[in-house]
Amino acid sequence: MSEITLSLTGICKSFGEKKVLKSVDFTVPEGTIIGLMGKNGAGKSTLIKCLLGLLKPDEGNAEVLGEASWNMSVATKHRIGYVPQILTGFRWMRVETMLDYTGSFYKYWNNSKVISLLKKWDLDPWSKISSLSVGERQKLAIIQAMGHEPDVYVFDEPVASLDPVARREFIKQLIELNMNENKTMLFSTHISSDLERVAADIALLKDGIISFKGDLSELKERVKRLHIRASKELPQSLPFHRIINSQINHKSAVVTVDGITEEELIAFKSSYQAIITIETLNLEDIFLELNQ
Amino acid sequence: MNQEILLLLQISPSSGEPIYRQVMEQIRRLIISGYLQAGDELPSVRQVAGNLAVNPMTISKAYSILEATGVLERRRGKGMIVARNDQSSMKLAQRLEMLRPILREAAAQVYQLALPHDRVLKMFAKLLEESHE
Repeated sequence: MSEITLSLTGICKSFGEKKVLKSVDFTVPEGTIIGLMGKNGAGKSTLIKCLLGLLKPDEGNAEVLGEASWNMSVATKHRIGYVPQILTGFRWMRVETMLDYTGSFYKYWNNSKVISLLKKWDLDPWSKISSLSVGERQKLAIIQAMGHEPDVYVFDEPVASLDPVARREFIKQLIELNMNENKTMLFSTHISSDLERVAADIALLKDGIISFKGDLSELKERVKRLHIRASKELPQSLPFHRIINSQINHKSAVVTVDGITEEELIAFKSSYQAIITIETLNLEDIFLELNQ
Repeated sequence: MNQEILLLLQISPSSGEPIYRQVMEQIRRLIISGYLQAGDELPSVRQVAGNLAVNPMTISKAYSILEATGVLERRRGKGMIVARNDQSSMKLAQRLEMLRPILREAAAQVYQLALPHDRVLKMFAKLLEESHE
């Protein structure tokens, strides 16, 4: 049904001795919203820059809308909206001038949309950029990336400096764009509560590879924390498949597993005469568990 | 009607319970409580997604599962409606489902108090008998 909009295959990137990306494989189908998660320094921005052709990977292929990222045509570039993590801009310009200036680089620029977004997000077109707060500058950067109505949005930590009201507004905007115009979106963040709303799929970048990619609901259904109380001494390694973390203390244990079957539970309960309660985890808990 | 349902649907995204399950559960409750009746129309996926500010795929997943399990029906031009042909067997399953949260809570307490299961079950059986009298 849907085409692949963004694709990375076997991407490696080192900075000096430091291997940041070690063979990243990653695809984003058309019309999906995907969240890229990872700790600070995990390489999220590096991954995004390789994807957009802003950094040349040491190995591997990066493609956007079927074109190699490193040699992207102008036409394809016009179909991308990118909000970088570190904002640049001319501090002496006014908001309006900055947006007009940005618009002048594109063949198509929806000025009325830009103006309505400014209103919605309480940005005064006459403010000088130097007088804006970090959050306001982030809003401006988002609007700058939306004016040419791209097909693909790539946001690098777009909400880090936004207050909860602005974040909700931003998320609503994304959802509208996705629903009404089938836009594809990738955004990186370490704020998991936003992802829980907006993303159907998430990808976790850890130790230079994508260690998980998939449906967020499925992830929540799979990853569970088991609280075990047994009547016998528990072994140092518990007989579950796919253990993420475990703490064992004689007859009790807390174990986080990535998927457990009813059979496994029953077998364990009967061989250790154990009582097990199963705790569901939210994305933040899961993120913490997977990064331990 | 549609607007009211929109206001009634509330989610907590940061719960361990996936959002689509929360939505399914709430629609089921609205039906069981009689708030929604057979033939009633549900708000569209877009309306719900827009209103709750969640990914539309999540809502459409909830609707599809409710449709597959016979709780909702897809009507051409109308979107989703509450199924007319609700078998009594399904109603039993739904009623049972309503008990689950309380029982889960009780089960957790049983665990904390380290009570033997057979004794607890006996007690419950007795309580059931008593409430019947």
